[in-house]
Amino acid sequence: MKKKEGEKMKKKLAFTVLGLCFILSSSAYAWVDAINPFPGGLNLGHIATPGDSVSYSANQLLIGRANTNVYVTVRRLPLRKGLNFLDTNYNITVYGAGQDSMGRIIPHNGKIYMNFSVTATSDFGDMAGEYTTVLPTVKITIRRGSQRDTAGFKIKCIVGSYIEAGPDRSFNLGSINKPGDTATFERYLLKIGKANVKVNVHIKTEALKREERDGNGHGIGSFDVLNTITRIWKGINRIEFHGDDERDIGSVHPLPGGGLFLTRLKINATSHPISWGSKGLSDDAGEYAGKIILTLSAL
Amino acid sequence: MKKIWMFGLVIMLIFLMIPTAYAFKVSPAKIEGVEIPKGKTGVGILYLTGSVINEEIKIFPTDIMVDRRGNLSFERLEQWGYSCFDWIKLPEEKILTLSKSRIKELEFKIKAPFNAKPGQYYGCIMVEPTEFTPIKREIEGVTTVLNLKSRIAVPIIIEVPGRIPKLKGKVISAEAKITPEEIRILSTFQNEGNIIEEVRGEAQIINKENKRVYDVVTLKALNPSAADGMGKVFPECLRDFEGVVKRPLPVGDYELRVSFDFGLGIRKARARADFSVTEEIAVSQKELLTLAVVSELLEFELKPGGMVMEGLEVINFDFQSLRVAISTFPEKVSWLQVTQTELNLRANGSRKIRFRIKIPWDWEEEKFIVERSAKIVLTPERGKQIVVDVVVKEEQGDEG
Repeated sequence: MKKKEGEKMKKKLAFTVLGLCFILSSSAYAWVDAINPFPGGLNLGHIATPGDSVSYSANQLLIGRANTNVYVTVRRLPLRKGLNFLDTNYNITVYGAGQDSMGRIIPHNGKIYMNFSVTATSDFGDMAGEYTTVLPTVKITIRRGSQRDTAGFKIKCIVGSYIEAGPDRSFNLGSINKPGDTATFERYLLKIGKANVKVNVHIKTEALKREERDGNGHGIGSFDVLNTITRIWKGINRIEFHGDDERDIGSVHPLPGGGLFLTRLKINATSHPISWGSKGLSDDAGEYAGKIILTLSAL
Repeated sequence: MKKIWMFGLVIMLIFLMIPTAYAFKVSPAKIEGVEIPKGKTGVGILYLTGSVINEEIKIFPTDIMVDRRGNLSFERLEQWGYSCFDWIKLPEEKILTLSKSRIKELEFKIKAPFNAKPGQYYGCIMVEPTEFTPIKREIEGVTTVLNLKSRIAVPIIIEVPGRIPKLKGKVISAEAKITPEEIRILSTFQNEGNIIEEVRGEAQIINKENKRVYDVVTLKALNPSAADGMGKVFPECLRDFEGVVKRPLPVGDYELRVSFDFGLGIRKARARADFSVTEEIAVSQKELLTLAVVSELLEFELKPGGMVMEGLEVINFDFQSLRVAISTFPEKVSWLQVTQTELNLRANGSRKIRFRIKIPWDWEEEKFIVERSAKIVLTPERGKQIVVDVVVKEEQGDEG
């Protein structure tokens, strides 16, 4: 009786071992292999002018091999530089034999494919420079039971720089009605343009002046010059220009959205106290004109 | 009634557009890293975009250089060996009409001559409106006009390959300018290399008798390129640097040791000079320089909503205790708070004042504003006021 029970136990044990061997051998034959279609990353190229976009499209990219059904997940990340994000649109389809979803894929002849397109669009608020997906985007995770493999690639593109120059014309102006008067031009938050790079501002000023004229109204080459002081505030620092003057005021960083601003500009133009006759407006009266030339450069 | 409203709205929109009516755009803002072997020709393209009106603009090549006082110069330089002015060939048409909102491509060529030495060469394409924009007002019969012109200089940096970039420089002059008010260190650096150098200067004040270092002065370039006083120096060009001695010097003979770091780390351009401090200067300095801080430039990198609590060490050089008033400039800065408004320092004592920076979630045009600056002003009851610059930049961190 004991002998029979022992034989039964032996048979059970043998079957268990055989079963285990079968399970182990069958799972050893299931394999997956994720393939990175762009081992060096994907360079989308150069967006010459903000407002433009750059794109890439490819079909039937081999992204993996497997001998069994697998699950594929894809991660889409926007292109970014610091806290600046480009508008990034992906269109991705993963497929094997017949299926075209991100879920369970049946490999076609052991291969898994991807149709892939990406478009990155920059607007005028984006700073110039290199934008990348910080982590490998389009991360392909193929898994089947305990078998798992991943591959991914980073995407990058360059956003070109631009400067837009345009004088802001909304000044408040004063006038000189008698000798010794001071006319004041003043503007807070003077917009000097737009840019997506740090911009050096060079300013050349000319005093307010008026060419003296002969009896026929023709200019005689000599000028009545007002004592002109131009004060410019960059942040909390004040820079003063006296009459005809020329200087750098340093670099101005664009604000979000690209605006280049000087905090304040104030021009005081004072007439000479003794040059006018006792009757008030005499020969020196007339139109006085001054000049400001702003040169913006990205050096 | 509806029509009148619509008309009013259109007039208002036109009025709002006036300030930008004379704006034109140039892209790219800078052309650099272009390699042109000698004898070869490179092609560059500038994209010029018109504004909301048709506008005439003038395009011409010129030189670009930073002069010794740190000002950018756009004048033609005849004798400069690193100018690529003559290499730039613009199209025949020098005056272009930019149509409204249209993009015009300006193709130009740069030919490096056969005899060009390897190195960096610099030039600039100037894009400027042909006319000034007049701002004209007439009040009580007197007319005043302010003529404005905004122009864009596109720097061009060409590299002629063939040699590893050479960093080299020397100190042209070093001197201490002594007045009863201050001892100012003036020094000039010359770039002897073949590329732009980013130069930082320092001066040690050493007593000749006891060989002790009495002060270390940061030499800042005039019109510096960075907040720490760094100055960019073009090849063959000079740049002036200066700094002020912050600690009172006793009577005696001193050695001034000036050194400039131009990018080679340990290898620096150095020079020495001697100066003496008389009793009159020593007394006046002792009266004026009662206070010092470590340091006069505080830079922080923060994210929107970020906060930092820091200490600023203040030292009293006076032989008596000193009361110091602490304020900020501008007076009301919401993001910078100093925990105390007054400080008492004992003779030759030092203390830390605490301040807090908290960047608010300032949201403008769909983005946060982080960059800002202010000053902490320390006014002692005797002697010179000290101003500390506080600069906050945006942290360029990665997210997982």
